[in-house]
Amino acid sequence: MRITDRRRLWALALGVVAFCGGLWVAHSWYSAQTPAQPAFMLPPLELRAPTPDFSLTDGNGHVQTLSNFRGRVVVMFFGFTRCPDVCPTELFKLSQVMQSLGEDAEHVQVLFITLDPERDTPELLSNYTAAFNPSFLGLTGTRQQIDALAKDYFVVHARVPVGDSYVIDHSTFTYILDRQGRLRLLARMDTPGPTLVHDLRLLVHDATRDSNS
Amino acid sequence: MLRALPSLFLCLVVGSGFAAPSATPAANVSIELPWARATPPGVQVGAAYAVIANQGPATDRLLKVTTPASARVEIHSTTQVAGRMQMRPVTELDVPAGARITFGPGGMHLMLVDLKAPLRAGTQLELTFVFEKAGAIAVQATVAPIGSSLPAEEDASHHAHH
Repeated sequence: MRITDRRRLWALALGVVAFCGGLWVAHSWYSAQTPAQPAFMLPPLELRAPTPDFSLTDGNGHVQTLSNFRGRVVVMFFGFTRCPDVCPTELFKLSQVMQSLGEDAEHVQVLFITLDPERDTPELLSNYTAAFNPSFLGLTGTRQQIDALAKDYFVVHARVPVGDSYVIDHSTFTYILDRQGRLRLLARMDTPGPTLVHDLRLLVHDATRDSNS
Repeated sequence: MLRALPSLFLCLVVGSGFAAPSATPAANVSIELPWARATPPGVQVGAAYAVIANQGPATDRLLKVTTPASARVEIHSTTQVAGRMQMRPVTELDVPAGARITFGPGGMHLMLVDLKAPLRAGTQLELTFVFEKAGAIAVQATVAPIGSSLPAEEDASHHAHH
């Protein structure tokens, strides 16, 4: 092998080692910066920033912002009242989860956010959520507010004409925010109730997250 | 005469006080475990479910479903595609020979549109399934609590029968 080839080989090897070393240092530093997650059953998100605030209207016509719920674990589900199958199934499951949580349920707020503000009036929403659990809040707003919020949470939704009416396709994730308003867990619709109970309890009691953000 | 049989059977069923599948001896299709979910006040739509069993040798077709409880009933299929729920009406449903089609939460459902009154848990709901060959089959569906995943009557002693 010629001398220049060997030098190049060494340079390359050194580069690889330096790169790996750099990765290791960065990883160690990053791990030191970010404390470990509690032992969630759902896959935890690594987001650290609080989710954007929103300003919506509840069943009594009062304005509710996400920051109003700071200090509570927030569980958000997007749907609409003319959805007879999927939405009641999920809200019923959440009501059972609240029952299982017992005292911890006081620190959990379930929000049902309509993707159909044209048809879902505040009164209808409050009747709807009350049928599942009196603590659940139904929220609505203007079309712009709802669209903006759906975008913040990556909620896919689309109005699909059916006959002379319409239905709404929508993603069916349940969004779980910690007591500091940060999005921590995403639960698919088929997540069993006990899994939600387990993880919500962890968030209610999670003392590793201090409120300095 | 044959047309009166469903009504007669229905009287017996209602009289014995449980939701039972109803099928005339002449029909090849039976409706099993019909049930519905209670609805909150003010909500205009509700959901009902059942199992449609075709014991006959030929495919039959469900043309429509009616109920006195709402202006109309639509047959919907729910599919989940990458976490997004899509609900689509099905205008006619083929039931192949020997097939059992189960309507259930998260899958096919009957959407009761423009309810005349909220559906209340513990009450009975009359549903009439109209088939191309088997004709009209009327059943009494028990209304389960809102959001339930199981028929209210389902327990160890309940068994599907034809």
